Parts: sequence; C-alpha cells; structure tokens
Amino acid sequence: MKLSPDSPELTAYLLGELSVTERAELEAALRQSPELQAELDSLHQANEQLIQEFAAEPVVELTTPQRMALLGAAKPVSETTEAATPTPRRPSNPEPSWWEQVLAWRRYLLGAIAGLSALVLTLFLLPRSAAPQSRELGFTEPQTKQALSLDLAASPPATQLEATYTENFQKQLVAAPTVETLVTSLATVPPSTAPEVSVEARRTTSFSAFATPADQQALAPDPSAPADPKSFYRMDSLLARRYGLMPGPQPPTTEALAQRRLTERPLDLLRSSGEAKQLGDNLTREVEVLRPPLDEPRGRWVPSGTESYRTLPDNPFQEVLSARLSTFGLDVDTASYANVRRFLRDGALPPAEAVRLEELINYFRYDYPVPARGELFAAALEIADCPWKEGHKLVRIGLQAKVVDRQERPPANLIFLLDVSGSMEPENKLPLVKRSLRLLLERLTERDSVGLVTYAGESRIALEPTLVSRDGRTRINDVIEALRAGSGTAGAAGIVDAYRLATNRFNREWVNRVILCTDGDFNIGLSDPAGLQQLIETQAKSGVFLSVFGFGLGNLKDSTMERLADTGNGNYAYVDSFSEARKLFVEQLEGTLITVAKDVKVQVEFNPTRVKSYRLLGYENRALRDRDFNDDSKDAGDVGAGHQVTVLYEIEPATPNLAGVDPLRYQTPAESSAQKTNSATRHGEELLHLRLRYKAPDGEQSRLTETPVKDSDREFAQASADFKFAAVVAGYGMVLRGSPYQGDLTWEKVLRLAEQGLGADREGYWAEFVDLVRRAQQLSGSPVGNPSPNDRPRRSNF
Amino acid sequence: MESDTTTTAAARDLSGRDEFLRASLEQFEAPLVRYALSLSGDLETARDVVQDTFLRLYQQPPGEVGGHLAQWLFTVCRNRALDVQRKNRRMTPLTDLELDHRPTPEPSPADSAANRDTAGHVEELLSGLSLNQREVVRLKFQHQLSYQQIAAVTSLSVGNVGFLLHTALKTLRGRLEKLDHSRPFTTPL
Repeated sequence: MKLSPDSPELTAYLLGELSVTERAELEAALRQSPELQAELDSLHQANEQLIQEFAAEPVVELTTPQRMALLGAAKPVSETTEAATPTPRRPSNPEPSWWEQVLAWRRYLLGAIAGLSALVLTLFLLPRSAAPQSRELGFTEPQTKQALSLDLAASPPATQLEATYTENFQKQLVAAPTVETLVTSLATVPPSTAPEVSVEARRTTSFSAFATPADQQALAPDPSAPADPKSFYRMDSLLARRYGLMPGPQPPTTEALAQRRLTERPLDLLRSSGEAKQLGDNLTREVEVLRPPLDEPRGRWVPSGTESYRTLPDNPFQEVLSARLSTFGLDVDTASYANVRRFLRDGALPPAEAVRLEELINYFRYDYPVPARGELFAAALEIADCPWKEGHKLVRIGLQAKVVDRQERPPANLIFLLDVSGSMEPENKLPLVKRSLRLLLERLTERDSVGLVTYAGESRIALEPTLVSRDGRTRINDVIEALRAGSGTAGAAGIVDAYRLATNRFNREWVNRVILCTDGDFNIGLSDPAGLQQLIETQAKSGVFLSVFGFGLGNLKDSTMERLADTGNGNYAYVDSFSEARKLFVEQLEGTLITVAKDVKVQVEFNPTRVKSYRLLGYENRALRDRDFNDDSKDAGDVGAGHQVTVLYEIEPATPNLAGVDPLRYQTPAESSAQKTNSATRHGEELLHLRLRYKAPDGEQSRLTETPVKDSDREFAQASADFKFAAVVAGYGMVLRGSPYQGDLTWEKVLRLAEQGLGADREGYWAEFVDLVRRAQQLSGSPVGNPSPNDRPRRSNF
Repeated sequence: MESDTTTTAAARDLSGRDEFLRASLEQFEAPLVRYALSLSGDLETARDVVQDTFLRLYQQPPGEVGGHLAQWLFTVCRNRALDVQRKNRRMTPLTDLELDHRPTPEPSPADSAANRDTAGHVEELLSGLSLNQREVVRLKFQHQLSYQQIAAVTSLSVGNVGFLLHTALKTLRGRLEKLDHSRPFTTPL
C-alpha cells in the first residue's frame, strides 16, 4: 500500500483494523519515515482524547418500567416499588401509572400487532406462578389494554413481587444442599418436605448442578427439587443485580432484602458491572450526584455484581468415639488466597464464603521431603501445641507429590480457551491474560504445541494448534497480541472446539490440556451446566484435562470454576497480578501442567486413647463419606507435579482416665490377625493413622499408602518454621471467616505470630502475607480485641 | 421454581433464550439508547426505538442472531430510528401530545441538552462533521464496533468507513487541541 501522512491506513492501524500483513507493512514504513510516525503519534493522541470525551457523556437508558416490561418477568411497577428500589440511576417516578398507559398506548398504536405477539411471548417468559392474580391497573378501555402489549393484566403488588423472588431464590437453594444440613433435615423431616426445612439453613449460588459428589449421594431422591438449570439462569446476573437479590451472608428474607437494598453501596453495584469500564467513571459520577454518600465505613464487602461463592460452615469438632474416621478429598487449588488478597488490596474484607482455609495454607511452599524414586507421595508429619487454644494440639500433615524435572516434562498439547467478552477489557483481565500467555510461551519448547480458541466475543478458533518452534512462536505471539475484548455475546465456538482441537493432537504420552481463562462468563458454547459438566467429565476420562484460571473481579464464579476444574482433573487458580501469573506459569509450570495423581483422598483414623476430639481445618467442600474413601468412582482433587498439600487438624487430647472407658482396641485394616492381638499395646502410643488413596493420571484403580503417626510433646515455639507458618495462615483464615473456632486469636495476635516467622521467608511471599494481615487488621477496625464471632453477620447455620 | 415438574421442552428452550435476552439487554441497553438518541435527537423517541429493537430481537428465532448480535441490534435500531424520523416529519405536531406528555423525572430536553454540553464536549466536537462522519465516529469510538460492523450497520462500504473515520479524526484532532477545558463540568470527575 502506498502510505502517506494522509492515508486512512494510519487510522485503521490505530483502531486495530489492519490485517497482520498490512500491519507489518505499515510498521516497516513507520520505521523508515519519521514524518509518518509523527503523524501517527498525533492521531493516537487525538484518539485517546476522543475516547475520554465520549466516556464523559452522561449515560442514557430506558426508563425502569420500559426495562421491566422488556424483561417480561415483572409488571409495571407502582410508585411504592419504585421508591423502595433505588435504581441508582434516577430518582423514583412519582407519576401515577395511568398516564404512562395512555402515553404508551398512543405510541404503540402502530405496533399493536407486533405487540400482541410480544404479549404472547412475554406471557411465556413470565414466572409460571403468574396464573394472574389479577389486580386491575385502574383503567378501563379494552383497546388500551390490548394495545399495551407490554403491560400485562395481572400484577402482583410490590411486596408480593419481592416475595416471589425471595421464594424462587430460596427454592433454588434447595437444589444444592450441604451434606450437614441434608443429614439433619433428612433425619428430622420426611423427604417430601425436606426442602422446606433446609431452606433457611443455606444460601448458595447458582450452577448448583455442580453439587459435590457427597452432596449428590446424600440427597434423597427428591422429585420436587431437581437441579433445574433454568431457574439459576433466571436469578443470575440481570435481575439479581438490579434488585440486589444476590446471595449474601444472611438468608434473604423479605425484610433483609429491603434492608439490603437501602444500605447497598451503589458504587459497588455499578463498579462491579461488567461494562463498568465502558459506561465507566461517568456512571459512578452520576450516582454520586444523585445520592448522598453513605457514611458507613468501608467494611465488609456487600455482595453485589455477579460474584458467587459457595457457603459452608466451618468443620466442627468431632468426638473421636463417634466419628473415628476423618475422610476428605485433596485440594491443591490456591484461588482463595489470591482472591482474598484482591479484596484486601482493594480495601475491603472478603466475604466469609470466599475464604477457604486449605487454599490459604496451600498457597505457600514448605520444606517437605521429596518422595523416593518410584513413589508418588511423601508425607511429613508434625505435632505441636496449638497457639490459639490452651491444651489443644495441632497436627500438620504435609504431602509432597513427586517432582518432575523441567527436562523430563512430557510434550504439552495445550489449547487455550479465552474469554474475550467486553467485560474482559480492563487491564487486570485480558491484557493480563495475554501477558501470562506470553510468559508461558517462553517456557515451552519445540515439542509443545499451542492452540487458541476465543469465546464470548469474537468466537472463533484464533489459532490452530501450532508447534512452538521459532516461526510458530512468532505466529503464536502475533495471535496473542491481536486478541481484543469485543462486544459480542453467546458464540458458537468455545469449549467444544477447544476439546476438538486438543483431541486431534491427542497423545497418551503427552500433557493434553484445555486451559480456560475467564472472568466468569461461561457462555462457552454450552448453556446447560449439566451438559457442560458431562462434557468435561467425558473428556477428562479420555485424557484431556481442564484447568481454569480466573481473572478480574466483579464477575468471578468462584464455585463454578472450582467445580469445573475439579471435574476436569485440573486445577483452579485466580490470577490477580502479573506476579501470580509468573508463579503459576513459570515457577510452578510443571504443577500447573502435569497431573501426577488423580482423585486423591485422605482418611485419618484417630486413636481414642490419645485423642478426645478433632477438627479438620478447611476442606469443608471436600468432605467425603467414610465409605467413599474406598469407592473409586467418587471424584476428588487432583495433584500436579511438585505440588504440596498441607492438612491441619486441631485436636483435643484425651485425658488419661478416658482410657479403658470404651473397648479401645485400636486397629487398622492392614493388620494381619496375628498382629491384632498386639495392637492395643503396639499402637497405643500412636496418635493417628493416615491413609492415602490416589489414581495414576491414566488409571482407574486407586492405590493406597498408609502411615502411622506418633505424638510428640512439643511447644508451639519449638515447632518448625513451616509448621508455625501454616498455623498462622490458618489463624488468619479463621479470623477472616469469623470462625467460632478461632480460640483466643485476635488480629493483633495473628500479626505478632506472623511477624515472628518472617526470618525464614522464601521468595518474598511471607512478607506479602504479613502485609495482608496488617491490612485485614486495619479494615476490621479493631486494633485491639477480638472481632468475636458474635459481632459478625451471622450465618443461619449457626 | 413453582411448578417445575411440568417444565416443557419449549419452556426450557425459552429459558436458555431468557438468559440470552437478559444478557443482551444488560449489555446493549445503554449503548443503544445513546445511539438512538444521537440519531433522533429526542430521548423519548430514542427510548421507544430501543424498546422496539429489543422486542424485535425477542421475536427472532433463537440462534439466528447469536454470532453478530451487536451488529444486528445497531442495524435494527438505526433503521427504526430513521423510520420514526421519517414518520415524524410527515406528522403534524399535535398539541395533544404535548399535553399528554407526563412530567418525567428525567431532566427536560432543555436541561439534558445543557447537561450534555457541560458534562462533555462531544456535541461541540462533532458539530463540524458530516452526518455520516458523526454516526461512524460514534459507532467506532463510543460503541467500539469494528469497521466491518459499522459498514454493515450503516450500509456504507468498509473503505468508505475507513476514509470517513480518518478524515473525522483529523478534523477532531484540530478541535480537540482548541477545546476549551476551562469550562466547568457539572458532575465531579
């Protein structure tokens, strides 16, 4: 192309409209002509300014009645609803709706026919309970009514409307019960009414089709509460966001809902909007003008936007005599730590549900011994006094998976499935994804191949699997560079294509993986959660695993992402910064890419002569029934090469005169009958017995290893640095959660303990952790004294 | 939800669409109203146009629109806005309409025009451009449509779009430099 300062190609280049070859041409020309470059620079400046000017324009939207009419799920509101529902964008409409009807009638006279069909359609879209309890809107002209295609005859009063949503919302909760509440509800109530009883006890998220295996088992066949994907969608983003009906730390009673709406911080609501950047600062500006600033201190994050978390109460203390076995699946995900860090850095305490103790502890690396050659796991056990409860002890089980050398890593067949929706535009989303990808690319070699599929915007196969050779590398980098967050929605390309590409190059010897990078949008081509899970599961069985990386904020579907990664035998991590990306894609690359053990389960048996009760710190959403331990069909967490997993138990030692109360023959199943006679004396000194089951990545049969653990009488101060650190991190997590088991921990104490451990810092993460503790302390606003569980918003489970 | 056990396959289909429609409303409501406003000049009209647009979207068979939603919406919106403009020009203004006009809670057109002027300089900047240029500039810089999409929406050729944008940007560059930044904004930045 002939290029001069007048060429339209310059502008096209600025706006990202040139093809790869055209761009190369232009860049070559730029290098040779400073005049051209100068022109480009000044155009670029104008471009930037222009974008800002446009962003400064006030936002205009439909009126609330219009929007609601379109949504088809509600009737034209009366004034009272308007007043009680602070749509933060405009003050409430004081006019009687009759005017509205007349005006609309005139306008819709032309569109009456279209209106009638819309009427039929919107009737379909109504919640099915709306066999209209008709409340007349107070006008009589029949033709007006008819022409008012969007105003429907029946309209439950405002409070009923809320009640319907609350009710619907609570009904959703039914589909994903937690194990505990199910147990209690099933025990006390006949199955047909079980949902009613347990409704109060739970709040959870949509996508509950991803109930844990334990949940699904425990759920009695209940015909009135199928996992209905439709209802989750309906309550998800839009309506929930508009009316503040998001899951929160309290059960959403009608009063609570109204209350929450009034105190909800509008800036959070808006800021978390996916299109916040586009509508941008302007929106928040507008709100600040219209509403007086709320003078509540910046404290606990109020749930808004479309983030969602699964809520589970802390594991309680279990009496050994009644619950001798503790069984759960492993988890190497570290998303919770990064997620909590994001909250704290943004200046808010995280919601309790986002804090998962095990993920906080597992974020850090410890000095565990490496397994011997041929072994997959090594266990390092340590016991010392508990720092937050006099008389209790802490047991730390440290598992180290085998390390795979960089050179030993098998070739990787990677397909990246990238969310390029409009909401991915901010710097901490798609740009960070791109940087992370480039980082990963540097560590890949010629034996590896990379493919790229985009969805939720320009949905397409951006790059067929390409070997990371010299030319391939350039090509891959180019494609990564050209990725843009677009303003599209539901695309056809997506996960199916990603899996197809991966399967085309599948090789049993290699690492075959689909890596999903998203901020929470899951319109990846399969809108049905059950179908999606099925697909991932099938693919994982055939050897193509799935890892999920979450980016950004405001739309994070934490529980969904974890569930998907779990089903896909991969890991779930949250990437909130470039250093986190470096950690995942460089330092722990092998762990990210190579799964060495699938479905890893832990079972601990406690010796009742030594232990009176125990409490497992974390792993609440990994709980398994005791008999699931030996059941290979039950899914559990997967462990990557070089990964470490730390498990903490807080135990209450048995007082000596407890011995002899029970028939206390302490046995392990692996013992032969000859040994059994000696077991009481031989194993009498042991504290617990650890069993581990896992499958090879391509196997279906599990293997078992066992380790007995003896007690040691060590004070906390004498424990290893690793032990102390793990304990402090657990303490930090408990205080963040407002756990009733935090003993005498205060933020002060946590900080003090954390600072003591600073000496042995590795890689700087420890220091960062101390900083986070300080922030949390400041944010909780209690420099001295315990933010006791009673001060926190209570969850109804307690 | 209430009588879930009787969910029909059709309703289940509709629910997937439900999500799609809500998401599209969520994402495109404000941009489309802004776009319609720039075409018709009147907020009430703009709102009606956008409402019609979404109604038409709802009537589309599912999957028809999916891949190029932005383009479709903007095109339909544009067509409707131009239709309305044409009709309004033919209609004699009825004083009844003014009488029936309910007092809206939004600022009156005069006020909102004033708001626009003081809250941003866009109107001022765009005033020197041709109609086509104005539209193309808005579609590009405000709504981030691609050249292809803009071409489809406005029925111009891609080359034309590129040329229009380029000349517009050059003109705007001059105006931006001369922009009077001393005028206060009504809303805090």
